[in-house]
Amino acid sequence: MAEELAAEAGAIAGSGPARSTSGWQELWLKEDWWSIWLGLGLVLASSLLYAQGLNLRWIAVTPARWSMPEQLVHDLIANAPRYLAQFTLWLVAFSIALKALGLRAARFVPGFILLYVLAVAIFAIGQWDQASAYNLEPPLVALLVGLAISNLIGLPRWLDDSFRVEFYVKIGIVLLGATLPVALIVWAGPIAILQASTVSVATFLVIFWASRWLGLERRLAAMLGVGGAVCGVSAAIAISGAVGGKKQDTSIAITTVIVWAIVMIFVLPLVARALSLHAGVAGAWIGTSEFADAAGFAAAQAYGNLVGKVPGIAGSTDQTLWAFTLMKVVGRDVWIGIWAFVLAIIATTRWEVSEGGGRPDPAEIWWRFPKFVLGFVVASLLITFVTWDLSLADYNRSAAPILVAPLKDLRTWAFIFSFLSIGLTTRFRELAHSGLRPFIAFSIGVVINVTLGFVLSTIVFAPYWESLTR
Amino acid sequence: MMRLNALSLRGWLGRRKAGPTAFSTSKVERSATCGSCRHFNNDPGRLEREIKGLAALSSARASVRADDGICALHDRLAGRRFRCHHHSGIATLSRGSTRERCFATS
Repeated sequence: MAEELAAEAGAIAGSGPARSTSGWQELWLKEDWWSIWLGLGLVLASSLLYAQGLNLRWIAVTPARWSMPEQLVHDLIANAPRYLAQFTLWLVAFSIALKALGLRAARFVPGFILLYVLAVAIFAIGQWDQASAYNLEPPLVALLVGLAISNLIGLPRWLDDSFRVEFYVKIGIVLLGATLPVALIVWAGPIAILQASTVSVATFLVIFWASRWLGLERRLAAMLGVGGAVCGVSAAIAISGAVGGKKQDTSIAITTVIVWAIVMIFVLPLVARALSLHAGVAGAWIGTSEFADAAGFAAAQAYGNLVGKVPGIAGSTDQTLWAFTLMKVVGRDVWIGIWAFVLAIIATTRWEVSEGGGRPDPAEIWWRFPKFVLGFVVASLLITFVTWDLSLADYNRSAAPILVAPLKDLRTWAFIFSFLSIGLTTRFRELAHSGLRPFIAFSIGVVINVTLGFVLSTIVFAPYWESLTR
Repeated sequence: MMRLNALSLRGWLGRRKAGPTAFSTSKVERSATCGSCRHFNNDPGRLEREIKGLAALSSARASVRADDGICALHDRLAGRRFRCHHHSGIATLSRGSTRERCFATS
């Protein structure tokens, strides 16, 4: 019987020896490292040009603010060569990276043309001077447009090679490091870790216990728990691999996380806006209570964009993104390896392992470490070093508009590519049917997560998030 | 009663297992990791196709996945360094030229 099963499964698998991506090979076989190479490449280029009195302004073109459609058309036509150059830059850089990651460049090109055209349109909509009055925030519009195209019109699946949600958002995060002073990471990082750890542990325990109470298997309970507590879909796949989760259960956990993550993209900024939360406080709350990096950045960027446009919202757009990043990336994401390692120990020593298993290796903490965080920190160090001898006034006068502003604009492009890709790759009818029990268990955790995150962000640690400035 | 048990620490952790079921240290099993098994596939493209929703908010090419893949025999995710009694691999030895016969330890 075992041989029959083996033969059948082998025919299905039909694979040779598995490819290892550990060790030095990871440097070119994982998208985390490619996001570092591309992101830091841009930061380095900007720094070198700045030293020569030049900058990336020309290629970091964005649509200008407009009130009449003719203004927009005129601006786009006048800057057509710059858009073409920028498109070429992205296309060449992404093609090289995705080719190394095993994707076909020939498939990437047509999809990226579509993505770039849509991104220009989304960016332009966001620059309309009435956009905020109609809630036309680019991240939310990008998500809705993507969802409408993929779920109502439909696109060939091979185009998904161009819609790399995680890859784009990681490049954006590395570029974000260039705008965040190292001193802020050092100052607010421990607070972020304290707040995020409190909420993460509580969320995990609640979801795990609720799942077990509802009769779900331990591995699925762990995937749901860490998915809600740490980094969403990435956590679910990491924990599934660490504890040997069933493929179907992994899909169920991922579906549950996706549904809640997309709901929260709209709900968190909406509630924060209704309460007129400070930009930094809202960023911290979103960072504590969103479930995936890309979804969280969409929510944080949407709220940050309201600063200065909607009366009553104090702070700055940067504060929202800084607080979000510190909370989500530094406070939650970097610990995924430890969660995986601990749960692997529990799974192999405590839970039933009738089929499969392995001795947990502490090196797993490093293997699963989200390496793009290193790029984020190095980008921050690099810009801090380049601007070391500038006073705040000099920084705001010379470095901010010439050195940092083009990187911020390129970061916004990367985020829009990511937000569009979320919608374009989320096909609701293709997601696994998750069933009611996993959804209920996760939802109980969502209530705890959102409530606890709100209390800690708006009351306990509010002074820190409100004073998050350069 | 079962649900109350699920809320206890023992219900959370489960009973500690005795014997070699958790991970075996026999000579054969030490050499038979899932990474060399023909049922195991950790191609990221395949993972993204088979695990619905994975590419929507994450990626099979991310560091967090490490070398994990799908075991087609058990329909589970498994680490490349996992060991299994149903190992049925065609292991590639150094330089990728020599192949072993498949074997099973159960």
